[in-house]
Formats: sequence, C-alpha cells, structure tokens
Amino acid sequence: MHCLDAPCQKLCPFGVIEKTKHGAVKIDENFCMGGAKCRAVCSWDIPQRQAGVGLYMQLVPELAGGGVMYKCDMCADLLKEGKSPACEAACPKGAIEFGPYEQIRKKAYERAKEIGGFIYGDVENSGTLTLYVSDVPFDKIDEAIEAKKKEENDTRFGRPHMKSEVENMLETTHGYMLATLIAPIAGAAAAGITAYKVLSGQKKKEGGEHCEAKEEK
Amino acid sequence: MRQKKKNKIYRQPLPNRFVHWGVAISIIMLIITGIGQMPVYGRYLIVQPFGTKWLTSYEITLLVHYFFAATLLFFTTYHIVYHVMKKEFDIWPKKGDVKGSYLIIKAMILGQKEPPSEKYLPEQRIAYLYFVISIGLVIVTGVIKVIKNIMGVQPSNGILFWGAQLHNLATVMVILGVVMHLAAFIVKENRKLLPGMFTGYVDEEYVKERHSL
Ligand code: HEM
Ligand code: HEM
Ligand code: SF4
Repeated sequence: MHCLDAPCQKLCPFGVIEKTKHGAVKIDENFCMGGAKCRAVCSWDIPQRQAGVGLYMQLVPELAGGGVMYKCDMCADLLKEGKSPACEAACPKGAIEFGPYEQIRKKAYERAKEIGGFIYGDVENSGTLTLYVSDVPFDKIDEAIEAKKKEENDTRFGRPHMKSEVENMLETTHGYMLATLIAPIAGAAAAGITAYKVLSGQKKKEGGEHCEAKEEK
Repeated sequence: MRQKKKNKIYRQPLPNRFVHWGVAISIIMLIITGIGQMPVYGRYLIVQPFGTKWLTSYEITLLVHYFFAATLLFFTTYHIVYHVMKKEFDIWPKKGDVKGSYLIIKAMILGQKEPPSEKYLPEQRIAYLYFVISIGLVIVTGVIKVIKNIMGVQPSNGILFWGAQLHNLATVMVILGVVMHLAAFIVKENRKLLPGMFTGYVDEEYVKERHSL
C-alpha cells in the first residue's frame, strides 16, 4: 500500500527498507535477512518471504534468516526507465492508474463522489499511497474475501483483508514515545533536587566546622 | 567523608545505588525486549517457555522497550546531573589507567599484592568509560529511533539504516559490557564489593588493603 508512516519501514531491525523518490516502500533484497518483522507489523501482512535466497545464504544458512521478504516496490526498475508499473500496463480494464499522489488522490475523491462510492487506503493505517475506489462498501468486500477464504479453506498469508478502521501500530505506541522523550528532563530535575539537598547539607556542616576552627583560635 | 559503621566503610551512598540498580534493571529489560524487537523469540523458541508469550509480540515488546528506555534515560541523566553538580569525578578515567589496570590484573593472576588504588581501581574507571561509550551510543541511536517513529516524521533512508545498524552494534557492546562486569565478580578480590552495591557498605579490611590512596 506504500503507507505514509509505514511501520514495516520504520521498524525494520536492520534499517534496510527504503522509501524511493516516488514514495514506494522498497525492501533491499540484498540485505534483507527474511526475519518477517515487516510482515508482522504490517496491518495487511503484505511482505511475503521467498525462502532459499538472500544474504543469509552466504552467511549462516542453517541458523539465521530464512529468505528474503518481498513486496510491491511500485516496479522501481520500470519507473527508472520511465515506463509505467506493470499492473497499470497489464490491467485489461484500465482500472489502475499511476501518477503523482496529490493528483491521484484528488481524482479518487472526484470519482468516488461521481459514483457515490467509497475509498480505501486514505485513512487506513494512517494513510497510504494506494487508493481503491468502489461503489460497493469495503466492509462488504471484506466479508466476501473472508467468505471466499473460508470456502477454499485458505489460511495462508498473502490475501489481505479490507477491514475498515485499520490502526497503525506506531500510533498505538505514541504516548509511550513521548514519555521516553520526557524522561531525561525528569531525571535531571530529580538529580538537581537531591544534589542540591546534599550539597546544602554539606555546606551547613562545613560552615559549622569553620566556626569551631575560629573559636579555637 | 566516608562514614563508618562497625568495621564497615560507606562506599556507595544511596543515590549511587539507586542509579546503579535503576540502570541495571533498565538495561536488562532493554536487552530482553530489544532482542524481542528482532524476529527471534517467535522463531527460534520451538517450545514457548511459560510466561514468555508476550515476548513474541512486537507491539508489546516495543511498549516495554519504550518504558525501560524512559527509565534508563531518567537514571542516566540523573547520574550525570547529580555528579556534575557535586563535582564528583572519582570514576572518570585518568592518564595511566591502562598501565595501572595491567599491573593490577597481573597481580591478581600471579597472586601478588596489588598496587594501591583510589576509590575506583584503574580498570573500574576504564570499565566505566566503556559503559559510557556503549550506553551513550545505544541512547543516541535509540532516541533517533523514537523520534523517527513519531507519526508524520519521515526519516531519510540513511538515518534509518545507520540508526538501526549502530543501535544493534551498541547492543552487542552493552551485552559484552554486562557480561564482563559480572565476570569481574568471579575474581575473589572483587567479590567484597558486592555488598557495597546493595547496602552501601564494604568491609573495612578490604578498603585498607586496596585503597591506601
Ligand atoms: C541497553 C540498552 C538497549 C538495548 C540493549 C537495546 C536493544 C535493542 C534492539 C536489539 C532492538 C531491535 C533492533 C533494532 O531495531 O535496531 C531495539 C529496538 C529499538 N530500540 Fe533499543 N536498546 C536499548 C536502549 C534503547 C533506548 C535507550 C532507546 C530510546 C531512547 C531505544 C529505542 C529503541 C526503539 C524505538 C526500537 C524499535 C525499533 C525501531 O524503532 O527501529 N533503545 N533495541
Ligand atoms: C546490567 C547493567 C549494569 C551496568 C550498566 C552496571 C554498571 C556499573 C558501573 C558503571 C559500576 C561502577 C564501577 C565499575 O565501573 O566497575 C558498577 C559497579 C558495581 N556493580 Fe554494576 N552494572 C550492571 C549490573 C550489575 C549487576 C547485575 C550486579 C550484581 C551482581 C552489579 C554489581 C555491581 C557492584 C557490586 C558494583 C560496585 C563496585 C564498586 O563498588 O566499585 N552490577 N556497575
Ligand atoms: S501496507 Fe504493509 S508492507 Fe505496505 S508499506 Fe504499509 S506497512 Fe509496509
């Protein structure tokens, strides 16, 4: 979906998921260890593992990694050549359109208004670059996907749902982030108070000794 | 200024112990939850030990990681501000510490008498510096990670890459540091320090023997 705040990208433990200049969220297949954290934190389980390939094969094939995670990269190689993405070119109905985000977004809303339809992907997971427009409510579509999966006994990954109200994992942990960033200030304050107390206590003592010394003379 | 209490020397005042154990607990939890942020527990623990299910959830380990990152930041800033205000720098490395540590460790191994020391042995000061560097790195990269996780902040690819790589490197350094720190208490001479971190006091004899300066 190429999320605006993509948890898969931000949380990769090796930092090898990049954003291209087109905004595509792209996994670096040369450095991915196939740990699948990106899949776990993605609201739609989108990244999928290809076993038996990747960096770990050169490092420790028995132990670490387990392949490479792949996901849509907006056909980065084709875009580089100035071509359009394969899905857009291949769709027989011409239903997929690729273009600058703001332009496409405007168009999606216009189209939705025209057909009295709905949009998926603009608020889900706090916003993505992929927008679906449909005159069937997406809850219905999601139900249909679920029903079909049940019918076919399909429990594998790779057939995403279309539930509404998809929450971004990073949003959930927001409060804690702020607490983390405020903690040092609290620490400095607490230290300031104790050090001040100890120091002024010492001064009193020293002051006392001073007096005694004077008296002796 | 060391107070006395029946053959004991007051070595570690309350704020030191407070910081030490705060940092130690934070770091141990950060190691556990940080490794939980790597795709490890769900994957390599074939049998899930009782009570550890939460470690396989990225969301929960991230929350707990944030929590202990906050406590670590609290204790480290406390530590810095407190000792700078009091101008206590006993533990800061001095010139000649590398040679000094070598002499003491040699004496330990050969069973000779150690050269005399100040409050902290030279190798303790070096160990401290090692902790400062590795914990410093883990904090700097960790703060970068927290900031980039804020909604709407889009880090550059380079920041993301180096933030993660250096955070991981620092993790390895911290774990090595903790292992070496604990290994130090295998040596009998050092074990007398243990009560100091719990109660604040160490044996008078110990101090006389080791800290004639
Ligand atoms: C001894 C201290 C620490 C250890 C051993 C540790 C270890 C780790 C490890 C192994 C990871 C997973 C790999 C990765 O994403 O790079 C991680 C992730 C993370 N750490 Fe730490 N860490 C420590 C301290 C901190 C501190 C102080 C902060 C914040 C100020 C922090 C913030 C984070 C965040 C936000 C993540 C989540 C992954 C991400 O956002 O990219 N860590 N930590
Ligand atoms: C997990 C993270 C820990 C960190 C970062 C840490 C750090 C430190 C530091 C910087 C010192 C100052 C002296 C030196 O550098 O040698 C120290 C002292 C000490 N630590 Fe830790 N420590 C940790 C865990 C532990 C644990 C688990 C124990 C318990 C067995 C322990 C027991 C002690 C004792 C007894 C001292 C006192 C040494 C003295 O009085 O000079 N530490 N620690
Ligand atoms: S939909 Fe999933 S895989 Fe795609 S960018 Fe968002 S979090 Fe990453």
